[in-house]
Amino acid sequence: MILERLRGTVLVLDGSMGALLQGRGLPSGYAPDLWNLERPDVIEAVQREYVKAGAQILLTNTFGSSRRRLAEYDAQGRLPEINAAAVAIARRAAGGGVLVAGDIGPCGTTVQPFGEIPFQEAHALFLEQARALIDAGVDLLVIETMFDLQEMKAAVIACNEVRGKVPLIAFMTFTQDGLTDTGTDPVTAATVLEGLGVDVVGANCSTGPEHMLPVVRALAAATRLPIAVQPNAGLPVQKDGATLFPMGPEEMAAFVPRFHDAGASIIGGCCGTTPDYIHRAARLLQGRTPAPRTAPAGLRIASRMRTLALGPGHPFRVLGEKINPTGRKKFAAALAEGRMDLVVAEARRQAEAGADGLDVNVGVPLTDEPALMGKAIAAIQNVVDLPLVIDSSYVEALEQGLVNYPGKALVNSINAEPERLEAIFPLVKKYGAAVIALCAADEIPERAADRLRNAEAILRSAEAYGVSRDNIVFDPLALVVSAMQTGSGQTLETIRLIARELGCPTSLGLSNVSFGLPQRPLINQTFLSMAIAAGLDAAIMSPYEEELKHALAAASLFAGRDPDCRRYIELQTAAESDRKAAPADDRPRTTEEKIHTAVVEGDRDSIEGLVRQALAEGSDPFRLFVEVMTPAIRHLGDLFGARKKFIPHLVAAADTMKRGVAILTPLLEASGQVSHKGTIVMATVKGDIHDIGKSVCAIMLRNFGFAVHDLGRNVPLETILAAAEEHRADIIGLSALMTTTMMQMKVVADVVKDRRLPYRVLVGGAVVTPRFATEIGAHGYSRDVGDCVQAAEALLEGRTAGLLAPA
Amino acid sequence: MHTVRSLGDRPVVIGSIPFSIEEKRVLRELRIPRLQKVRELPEEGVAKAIKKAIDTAYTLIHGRGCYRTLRLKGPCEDRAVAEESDTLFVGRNMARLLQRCDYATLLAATIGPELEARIESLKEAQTADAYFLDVVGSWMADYMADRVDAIVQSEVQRAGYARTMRYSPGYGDWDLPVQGELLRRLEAAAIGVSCTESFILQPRKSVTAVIGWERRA
Repeated sequence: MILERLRGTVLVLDGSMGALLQGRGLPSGYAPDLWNLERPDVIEAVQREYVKAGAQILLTNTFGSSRRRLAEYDAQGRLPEINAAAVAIARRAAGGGVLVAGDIGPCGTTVQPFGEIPFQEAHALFLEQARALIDAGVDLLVIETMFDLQEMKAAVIACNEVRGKVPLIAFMTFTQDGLTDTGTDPVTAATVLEGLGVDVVGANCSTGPEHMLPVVRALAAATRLPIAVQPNAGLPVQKDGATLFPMGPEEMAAFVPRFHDAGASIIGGCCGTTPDYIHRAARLLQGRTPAPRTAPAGLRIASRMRTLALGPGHPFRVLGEKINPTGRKKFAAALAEGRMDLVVAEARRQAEAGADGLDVNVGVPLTDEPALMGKAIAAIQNVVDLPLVIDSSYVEALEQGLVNYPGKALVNSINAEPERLEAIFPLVKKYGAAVIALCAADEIPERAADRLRNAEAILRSAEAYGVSRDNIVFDPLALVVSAMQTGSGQTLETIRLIARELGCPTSLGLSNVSFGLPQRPLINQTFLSMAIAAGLDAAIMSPYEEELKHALAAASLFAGRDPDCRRYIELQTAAESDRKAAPADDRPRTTEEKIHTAVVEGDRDSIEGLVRQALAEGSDPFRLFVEVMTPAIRHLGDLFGARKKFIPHLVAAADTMKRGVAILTPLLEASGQVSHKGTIVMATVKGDIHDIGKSVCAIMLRNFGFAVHDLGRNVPLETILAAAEEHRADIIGLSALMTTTMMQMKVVADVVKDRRLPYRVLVGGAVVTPRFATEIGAHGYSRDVGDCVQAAEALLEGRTAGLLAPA
Repeated sequence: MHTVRSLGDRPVVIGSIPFSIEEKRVLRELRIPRLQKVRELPEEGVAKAIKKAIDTAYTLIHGRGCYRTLRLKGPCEDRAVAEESDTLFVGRNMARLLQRCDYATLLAATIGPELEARIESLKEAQTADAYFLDVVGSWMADYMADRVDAIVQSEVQRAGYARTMRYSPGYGDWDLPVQGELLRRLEAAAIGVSCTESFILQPRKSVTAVIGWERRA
């Protein structure tokens, strides 16, 4: 009855409570919820005003009446009492005909994987409050002002467990940019919430009506559910110690018909609104029925930040298959150690290769698969925003994946076996997921008609568990073609039958079809094209193979899945530009020329082989060092000076040359051809632990023939002086990255000057400037790796480097 | 103020911050102008090294953050006084920054210790790899601070305030020794952030800062 009313009519919600209570003496910073017990008369008076103004739904004064929030006021022990009192007050104020909605706000902290507390803990907090409100006899439940989809999910699941047929409205809160604090857009919010089985989807708080209007439009276009809206009276402004909401009742009322036209059928107010606002809204909405809406249908899955529609009328979807340890020893070993680095790398690589979603399978024998699945799902979401397919034979692993996933997952998979249906459909329902259903039972039927019968049985079972057919994608079962050639024909026929008879989307695992045959990519491409022609909507497949991608794009043209051939042309344009970008083959021919080029281009992988090859061809080691590599890096230095090359080029070249020189050094030493230009003792000063820039400079100086003694970081004065003396240094090179530690450079410079030590002091580092170097009495300043050699050479010649000219 | 999470007794903790490493941004941090993608670099060796650093960073970064909002009593000449502390927001610059503010949010963000450990292990033998990872890590520590900053900003706006700039210890006359108290009040140990005796944050690829909640004129 109430649900019918929510769906069939336009209803008016109440407005803000907090400001009205403050106007009646609620001290700033005091919990309004405690007034349910201490000042019920005041709460009731406010709510009566809203009823008088025309509100048809009253929210109970229980926004913060969950355990963690009440604990801030040491009132957690009174939770049932506070919630029950609030419901009783609202019921008294409501009289007949006005609905009482039990109000639930955020739990007071953030929820994993994004946040602090485990999902189950948040779920328990919401469950306790929802139960108290249901026990007190509310007409409906409202979850509001949720910043994070995962927290909302915990709250909805908790409410679903106790609410029976009591309807549930779920409000997310969106910022001015139309996203929640954790990056969820309205379409994704609607997709996930509809999947979870809420009765009404809404947006409240945070912004005024102008920013909320596009959010309401997006929600209405994304779900068939009724839409509710509660805007603030504009964006608040703090002035003279008070929070002011700039939008008056009349200005705000102008938005009410616009919200109605946008698709909202439950309209109220949030912060800054009063009974006057609600009265105007009620007058404007009187006699209106919900605006007509075009309801989207079909299967959609979502990550926290992105929604993916799958089925006829949408592009073919590639679900990356590479997060799977089957047949991959290194990947399996990493998982067995609990390491997620390869999972994360594979997720990134598939996303970059253009996958639309990612299948996640972490099934390694003798491991704790549920724990691994939870960890993998959390880790993947940190680096990609693609929707995920949670793939396991184990129900516990599926559930752990679902718990750590704020979006709407695709579960992989069920089949028609009663035990599997019984175990997995309740999970799909509870966590609001979609599911891949194999057209098999205890065995795979040979004939398409029998596979269809299994699909029909699965649909009947889905209905019994309350899972909508929009949440099922069938796998028509691709079989190994070398084992049974007629089987593939039956697979294609199953795709056609499911589309025609059931109207459900299909997806299959592609790569297996070619098992055991040569030229597997060719087989995969051919079968994929045929399957797309038969109506296949998605495949779990490799997103890496270029030719497969091209075959898919071309087949999509013939299947009518690429309007205006746009995706195909984009793919070909990108491929063409890659081909053009490939460098012309004007590479050097002699080995010495190749060494020169390898140094200039920072080709660290080739240099050692090239140097060995040159030596084998009879090149003189000294000549290679002095006449090939040194000119190469000097040339690079010139290009750097002309801003044609940049720091990374110098860094890569220095490292490249270092590797080449390492091969030459024993030969040069043996032949007595080593002569050092000068000796430098380098250190990061005391108290400072940054030294990567200094390490790069040290390599560059060594490449240019300096003897470099790198003392590391956080080096005290005494150690620097002792090393300088021991190695008979010409130069002390000092590095610092912090304003607090750079004064240690002055300490060293002062001692060198006061004791008349024979060293030249060269300083550098991110915070060091020519002025500072000049002021502390250093002999030279090096800006970066680009000029450190020049600076050191100048100091050896008795000149200064990089200092300010005397005034 | 019912939507201000960070006014509670305990800091708000973000246990895992999703991230992406934008190639264009990394190129800018490396002072390479104009290019949008690493593969546009004509020198394959350099491009490969930078791409490898980005790919490696994806597997080593674990972004975490926390923030907490303190009520301010008002500015003095040489500091802003919070209800809980008169030793935190010290310095004339800080007094100026927070002079029109009712609240100030402390925040900390980090990419975690793993990337730094990798830099250390690569430093001697593969210095270029260590260097590129270092640059990516520094940028990503700022990135994590930006993510926490964005959440704080939406709390500030919801409450009707304007935000000040983000101001970190070491800027102007807000001296580094404040790190100890700042981290303590943030309970930053929960996200694995501490500081050395010379007030260097550990992990180094971490950021601490304050954002003021300014009354509008």
